[in-house]
Amino acid sequence: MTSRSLCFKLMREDLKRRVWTIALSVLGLVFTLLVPVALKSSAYLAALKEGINSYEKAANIRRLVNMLGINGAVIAVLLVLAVVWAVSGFHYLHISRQVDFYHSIPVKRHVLFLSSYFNGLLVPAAIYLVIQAGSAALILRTGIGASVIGTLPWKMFLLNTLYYAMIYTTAIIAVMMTGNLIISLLGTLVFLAWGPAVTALIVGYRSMWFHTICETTKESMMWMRIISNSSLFANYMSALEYFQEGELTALRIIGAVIVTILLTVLAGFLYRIRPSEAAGRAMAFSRTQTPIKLLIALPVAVVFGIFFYQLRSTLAWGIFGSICGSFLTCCLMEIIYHFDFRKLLFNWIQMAACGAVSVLLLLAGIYDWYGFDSYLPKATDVKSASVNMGYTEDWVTYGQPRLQEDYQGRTTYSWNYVGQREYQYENMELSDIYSVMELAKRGVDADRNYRKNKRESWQIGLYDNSEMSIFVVHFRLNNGREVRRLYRIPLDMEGMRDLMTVIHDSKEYKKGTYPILLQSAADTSSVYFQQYNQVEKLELDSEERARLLAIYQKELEELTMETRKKEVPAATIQFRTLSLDQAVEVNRAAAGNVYEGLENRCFYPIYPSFTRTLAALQEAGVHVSELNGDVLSEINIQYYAVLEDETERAISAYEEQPVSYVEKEDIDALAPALLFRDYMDMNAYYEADCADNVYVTVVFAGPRTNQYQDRTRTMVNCRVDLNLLSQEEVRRFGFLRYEDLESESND
Amino acid sequence: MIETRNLTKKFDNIVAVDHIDAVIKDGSVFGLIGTNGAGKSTFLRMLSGILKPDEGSVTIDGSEVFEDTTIKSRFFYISDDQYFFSNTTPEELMNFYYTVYPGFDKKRFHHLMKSFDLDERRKINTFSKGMKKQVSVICGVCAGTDYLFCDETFDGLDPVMRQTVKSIFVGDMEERNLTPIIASHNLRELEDICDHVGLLHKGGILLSRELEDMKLNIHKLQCVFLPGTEPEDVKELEIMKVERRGSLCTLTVRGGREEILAAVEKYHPVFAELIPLTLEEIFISETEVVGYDIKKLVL
Repeated sequence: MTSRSLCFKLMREDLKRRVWTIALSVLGLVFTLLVPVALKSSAYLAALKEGINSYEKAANIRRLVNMLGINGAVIAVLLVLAVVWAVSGFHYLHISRQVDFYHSIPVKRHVLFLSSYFNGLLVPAAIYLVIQAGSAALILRTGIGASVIGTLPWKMFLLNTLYYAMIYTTAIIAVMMTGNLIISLLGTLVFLAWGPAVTALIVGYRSMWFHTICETTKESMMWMRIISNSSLFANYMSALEYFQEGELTALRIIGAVIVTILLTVLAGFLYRIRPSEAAGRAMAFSRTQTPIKLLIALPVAVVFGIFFYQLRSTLAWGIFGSICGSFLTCCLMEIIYHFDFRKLLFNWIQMAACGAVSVLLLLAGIYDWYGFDSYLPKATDVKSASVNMGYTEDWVTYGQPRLQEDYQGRTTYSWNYVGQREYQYENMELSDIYSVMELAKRGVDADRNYRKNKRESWQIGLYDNSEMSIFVVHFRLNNGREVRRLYRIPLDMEGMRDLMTVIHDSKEYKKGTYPILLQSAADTSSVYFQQYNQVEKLELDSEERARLLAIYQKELEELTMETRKKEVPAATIQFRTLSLDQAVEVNRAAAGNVYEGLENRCFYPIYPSFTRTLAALQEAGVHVSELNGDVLSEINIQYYAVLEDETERAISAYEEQPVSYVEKEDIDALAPALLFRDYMDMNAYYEADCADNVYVTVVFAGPRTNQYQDRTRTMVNCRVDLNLLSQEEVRRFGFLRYEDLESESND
Repeated sequence: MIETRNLTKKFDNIVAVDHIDAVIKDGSVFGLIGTNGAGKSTFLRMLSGILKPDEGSVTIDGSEVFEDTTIKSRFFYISDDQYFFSNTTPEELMNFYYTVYPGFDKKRFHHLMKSFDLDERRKINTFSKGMKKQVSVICGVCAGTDYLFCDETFDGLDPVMRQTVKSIFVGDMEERNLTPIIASHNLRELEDICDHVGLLHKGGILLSRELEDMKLNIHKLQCVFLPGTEPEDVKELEIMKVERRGSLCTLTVRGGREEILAAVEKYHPVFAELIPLTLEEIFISETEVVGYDIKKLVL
């Protein structure tokens, strides 16, 4: 008899004994797919009968069709079925008399393996295909056209089946490597979860102990990629995400197919070499015991060490945690391996070694034995550098529009973000290496102090009274290496503010921070002026645009720290690129609700001292107004209540009624001190003394239409600069600072 | 012919089968006897290709058994705790075996099931232990293989069934040269049917011989020596055991009948008589020599 015909016969015999698994698969998929689709279809038909608008109809159709796509319940059932089919197919390997039966008959082991393997793969796939097709047919019966459904059900079927095969084969490998049902289920869990858990631990360990670590978006994405590929389950989830976004590539699919084939070969190989006498043992291959134990025990010990260290921030508790984690895990594993509680201290040397390594990892983190945080390159080795000064320039938009097709086939523009730091790494080349080195030295000193005070990275700044800021320093070394460090430095450290000023005022810093400075006139297609809530397009020809751009670029480049300390932007300006203009137009014309807000991006501040820009604007017919009684009709002030039992500085309650100031006299008195919050956010260096107990909105003069919908009339969220008011005015309007609030609360 | 050379199997630190060399000739009944934990089942499981030997080899007509389906189709293994698919019936089991054993005789299966008064459509899990054994044996003989490996197969069968099964074995041996290899504790059962016996102890083989040879080569000698003569004085005898009851000595002695009597006659015993040993007595004597002594176990 040929192996192939024997294999088919054995498959038939195998299926006879696995009728319950078939029934379970049918039930699971019917109740998670076919029945919900039938219910929803029926509801849709009823709604059509009653009459629904086109938007609701489209939403209903989308929901119905999406049930054939990424359906969480179906995926969950398939995952469970993968394990059930794997275990039911090969559980006989765990029972001695069954192994004797199967392995004594004149059938080659690979044929035995394949007959069970293919049943567990093909039967659920066939059931899923039938139910998916049935569900699609139900949807078609509602009158929704086949073109609306498209190829989604079949693509989804193929994707889910592929990953079903992967998880199924992984579960089989777990069964092969163990000799007991419970252990094989635990093994499956380890195979699917170990990778992401350990990767997350590595990421956590790095961020916990490497205080100055600073990853680029690319590096963070790399970790995300590692996590998403660190186990088959994670890979499945990320494949679904890509599928949802319409970014699932053929390469990824081919990779998954190759991995599945390799896993199948591995499973078959393990079946062949698996000793029959392994039935009933915890692990089929004794050689795997120690590596698996250590691969589980060591991460657990590290987690325990970190957990206990965090509880009390003392070395003793950290060491206790490490040893405790190692002891508990190793003992548990030995008990499982031997099915005997008395064997818990078996292989105590490995346990001790595991504990010692985890303690070393803890100590290395606490005392920076890696030398990561204290590292500074030699100034002579540094070719150039860039500096990111915390959140001071968060208002700048980086990136560009990107045309994207989602999985429903809609093509619109979205914003392809680039991180600020990444932009600065790419575009900033500070020549004043001395100042950057001095900044980094202060960062290293600050970190040394934090370590001395047993502060962890996330605690830094929380318990220090001094004002602290984050700086990211990026060195490009002569040998091509790049070094990046993130420092949390108290601003009252000697010379800090001077260093910041020197770096800020350099043209290289600004060129590396504001993309507008690298924008060419040829790429500039339109200019928009914005003041408060009014945006207007400037009617300029290309020459005028080029001139205005050059003037603005020059003034922005020359902007100094001194100016920023004294001034708040008076307005903003946007130089739209060709691609931005095109993106805005495409999105505007696109059917459906596409809200990306592309037209609101890339506005830059116009400071009052940008006199040449302001003059050019005036020439273009733009009037920059000031807030006063002529332009405002009303100033509303909502006062915060002072919480009596509040010990923190945060205030979270309003007084019930806002106070409206409508008299010109009041408005004239208040208006000069009002700072538009959006403009304040563009200048973190402005030295204001703001009132902390009020929420201010203003209403511009003009006819009142609808208070809630006419957003052009209302400007929200102003702050009040008390420096610009007299003491008497401060008292009269009831403005308070935090200090005043606290003392009032204590009284 | 089945041949094992240097056959060894270890389970962790336990040596279950220790360098066994044995030959099982075709057409005879090979009885595998041994102390508890001697390695009989392990030996049979290696013979069946279930376990892979750690050392040595198992061959049938010169071909290795492990993973050779041609060779494996020449034997049928009945374990001491035979597995049946859950909720299966003898008829379904027959169909399964028919799939894997090309020579499976369905007609004979039906005939034997009827003869044994077993319902082919009844679920096997409702059968008694003995009935399950009967089903296994019927499947085994109907598989049409050259060898039948039986691990404690007679255990659980009533005396009539045991005789019936033995008759079937004898009939198959005559008709198609079947070679049953039977591992058992029940030495009286084996004594009736076995041609050759292999005695295992602590994983090693103490002896492997034709039963007749074995019986002819070990005897119980009852004698009364003249005063002043002790059994140990008879240097010509290979005495395995001495028991005294007054002046009557009972000796277990290796050697042929004539040879023993001639040796004793030299010392002019008052009385000397040779009594043949049962297989059980041979087993006890042989294992006692290597320290498996009933006195040590009980006292």
